[in-house]
Amino acid sequence: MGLELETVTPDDVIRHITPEVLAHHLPVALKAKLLHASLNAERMTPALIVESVGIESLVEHSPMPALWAVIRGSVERQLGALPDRPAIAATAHGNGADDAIALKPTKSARPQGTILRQSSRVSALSPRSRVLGRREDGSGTSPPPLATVEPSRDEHVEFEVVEETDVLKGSSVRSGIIPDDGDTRPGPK
Amino acid sequence: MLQVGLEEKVVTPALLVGFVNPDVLAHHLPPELLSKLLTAALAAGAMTPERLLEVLTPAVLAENVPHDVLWRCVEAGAERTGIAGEKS
Repeated sequence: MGLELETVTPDDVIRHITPEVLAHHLPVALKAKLLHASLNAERMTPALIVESVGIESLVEHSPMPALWAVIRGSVERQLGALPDRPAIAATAHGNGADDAIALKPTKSARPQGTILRQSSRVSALSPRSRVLGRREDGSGTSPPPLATVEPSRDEHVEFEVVEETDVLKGSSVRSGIIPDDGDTRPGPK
Repeated sequence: MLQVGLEEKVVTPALLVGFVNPDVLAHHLPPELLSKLLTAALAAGAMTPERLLEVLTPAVLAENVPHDVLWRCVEAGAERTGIAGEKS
């Protein structure tokens, strides 16, 4: 397509798909065709090579990096110089994953606090640490033993009763349960 | 023998290319030599039988091209120049 549009010239092609590439990758029939054309033509030019071998055959038999180099070379010739990406690709081996790796800070550059926090959190949550905590100190941060639970359970029940009456006073559920109660009471309705 | 034939003008480059033709070269030349031949032709701007022989010297041809092909070429040169005499 580039050759048809003349954005890629035969010179661009032969600069990268060199005689060496052709000699190594073309099948025998195409080599013979190229030699025939070369001996019969008055001038041996890159255009003659491209014409005699054919674009489709060149694409079919040339290695992909060489073909890409042709396109890249022609773009570079027209633009003068290509943008930054080649430089990044050159340092990061040329794929997107490496770009991400290049942007990622090195291990030594990462904050050490993250790793420390993570390790302490893991030890606090571990079941083994909890068990050890109960044995050493029953009234500490660990849950209280079963023998000391009953008094606090009573308090808990009282609190629940108070809470329930408060809810009933403020809500309209009671008026729903006892019909006409709301109608007989004085005050705003 | 090919070397002598070329030196004595019994075998000409054009005659040689008639036997050691593109099909023979494509089949028997190693890629390195074919690459060298194409590069030389591109640099010179033309591929002629004479230039072909500059790259593919008789020694190189003898090493890479089947000897029966080379012999037929020498034989044809001998017939052409009358060295071989009349066929019996």
